[in-house]
Amino acid sequence: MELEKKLEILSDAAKYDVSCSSSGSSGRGDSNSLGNTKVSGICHSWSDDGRCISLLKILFTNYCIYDCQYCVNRASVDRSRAAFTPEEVAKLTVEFYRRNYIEGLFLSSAVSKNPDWTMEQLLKTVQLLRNRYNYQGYIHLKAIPGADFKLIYQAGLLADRMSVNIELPSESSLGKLAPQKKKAGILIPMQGIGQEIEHNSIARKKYKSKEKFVPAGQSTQLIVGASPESDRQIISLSEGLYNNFKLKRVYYSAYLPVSNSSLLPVLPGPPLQREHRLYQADWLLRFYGFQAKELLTPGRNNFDLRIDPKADWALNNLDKFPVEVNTADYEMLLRVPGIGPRSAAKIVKARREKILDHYNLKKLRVVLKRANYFITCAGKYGAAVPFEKEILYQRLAVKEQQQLALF
Amino acid sequence: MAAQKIYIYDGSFQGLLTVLYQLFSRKEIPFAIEKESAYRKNLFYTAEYISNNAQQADFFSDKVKEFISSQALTDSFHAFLADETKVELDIFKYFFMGFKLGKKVDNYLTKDYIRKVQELARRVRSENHRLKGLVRFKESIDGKYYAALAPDNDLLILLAPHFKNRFAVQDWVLHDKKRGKAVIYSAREKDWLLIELEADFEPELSQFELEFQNLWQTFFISVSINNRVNPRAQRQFMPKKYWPYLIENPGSSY
Repeated sequence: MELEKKLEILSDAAKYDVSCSSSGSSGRGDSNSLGNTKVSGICHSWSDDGRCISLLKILFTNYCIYDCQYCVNRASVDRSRAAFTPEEVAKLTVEFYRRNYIEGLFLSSAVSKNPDWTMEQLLKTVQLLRNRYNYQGYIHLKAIPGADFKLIYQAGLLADRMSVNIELPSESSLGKLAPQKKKAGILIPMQGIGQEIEHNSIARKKYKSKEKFVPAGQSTQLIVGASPESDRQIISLSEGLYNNFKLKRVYYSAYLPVSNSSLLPVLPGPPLQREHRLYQADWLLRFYGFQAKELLTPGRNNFDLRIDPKADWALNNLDKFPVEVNTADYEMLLRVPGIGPRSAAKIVKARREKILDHYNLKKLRVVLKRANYFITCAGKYGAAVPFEKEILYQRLAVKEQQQLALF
Repeated sequence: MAAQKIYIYDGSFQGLLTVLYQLFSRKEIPFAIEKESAYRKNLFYTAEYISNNAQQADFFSDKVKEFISSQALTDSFHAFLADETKVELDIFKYFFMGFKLGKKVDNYLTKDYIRKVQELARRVRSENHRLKGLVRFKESIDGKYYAALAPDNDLLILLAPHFKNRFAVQDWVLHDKKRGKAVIYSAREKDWLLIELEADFEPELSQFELEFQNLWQTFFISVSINNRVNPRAQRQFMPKKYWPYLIENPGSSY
């Protein structure tokens, strides 16, 4: 088969994996090697669906022995199949990289023959890139559930990031939709990688020459909408993964109807708005000091699609507002809807010089569109509406006809 | 009161630092500081040309680092690269305040000129970051990698070190078509050089180049998910002004 045809099939098969980040790894590469990595990560293009392209995202093969209902590549579906050779993947990566099309390689695979064989192929490809081509750009590699951990460990020494996708947020859904996969099969490699990352970071403090193991950390992905789990379950799961497994990122993927299995729900379209709210909540967990149990309480299982989770939290905790910007601490400023880390830092800086009023905030480019309802400046409340939950909700909620098609 | 003066310099950052050195040592406040190329004769103000002096510029930048901060020097350099007239006077005011306040000057965000310098610096840095991704190289027939770009700000000097680290083992050229400048890098010398290069320069491509361009276009189309088409978000991240120099064709997948 022609290389172009293979690329078409195997990038098409990989595109439902949303992970794209190329950040978190640095110090690779020197003046005799091709490529390096940047801590910030770099996006190289944006595809027509508005998602960034930073890595050459492909499957090694889409011949699969599993039959997971939610997956485009499941064994029982009739679609064109292809498989790369390690040499082809390495060649493509290097040539694209040299032209600055990509920041690195994202290599995943369907489970072909058996997990060990598949993992060996991925390992061979990475070895080729690192050792033969002396390529030091970014590599994101999938750990294949069920493969020998020795293989995964070997790959981890060469890759920047590794990931194992959980896909379905609970064991019962896994049993229903992907009966050949076991929860343990997914969690064991994740746990293994997590432990090795931790050991490695301790060892590297002792011995400088110690090789790095998965320096950019590991990530995972959850499918939203293919199974009946609530937002509260999903967000608590994410919190657990961040706290216990030390994951760098959890990605959420709105379920797209890729199969007409009777086990799957019929949706009018992909639940993009729900996915968007989950990402917002995920950011609140990671950068804003929120906890999952604050965002959704046992009585409320799902996010309000019309209002973002932070504003939602603020409206449910109106007794903590309005916040005085001149005296509130940084953590509280971060909790004001519309004020993020950058604005909060600017406010904390600028108020050392003088007492801030609304005009000053505007000049600092603090966006007051939402924040205005929740702050006072030198004792003055600037929003021209009564400070009542219902009224504020009406002001903040997305109007039905202008629902945004975000991401 | 002496008549207010306009100071003119050669257009380089070193030239600007020399002017600032002179102004601070003479204790003078300028009406304007202008590039030689932008200066038009003015009836009401006298003008003085101050020629570039490396020693004075170095002395001044050392003082900025000592009494304000090295971040302040970096910020003003980045702001200087921005596509914005009259930035020089804001940089002067910024330093003027900086010598009074020390490194605290960056907290005085309610002052227009301080914010201006910081915002311009940020604008330059963000375009720089964006272009690190959007620059596309083509392989020429003699094995050099050539990229054309037309950035809003004068960024070549910021992009060069990035690509030097990244593509240390290949020869490359970064060509700013808007300003008729280019950076050329030699893998043998391990060093880059800023040269003048006419805007209509085009290299002859290698025989494999088109094949990889095709593969990239194929990838670009097949990686997009059709149920989620969102050209607005795409344009937001990748404004149309950068499209002419891309290899892929945004909008080609649906």
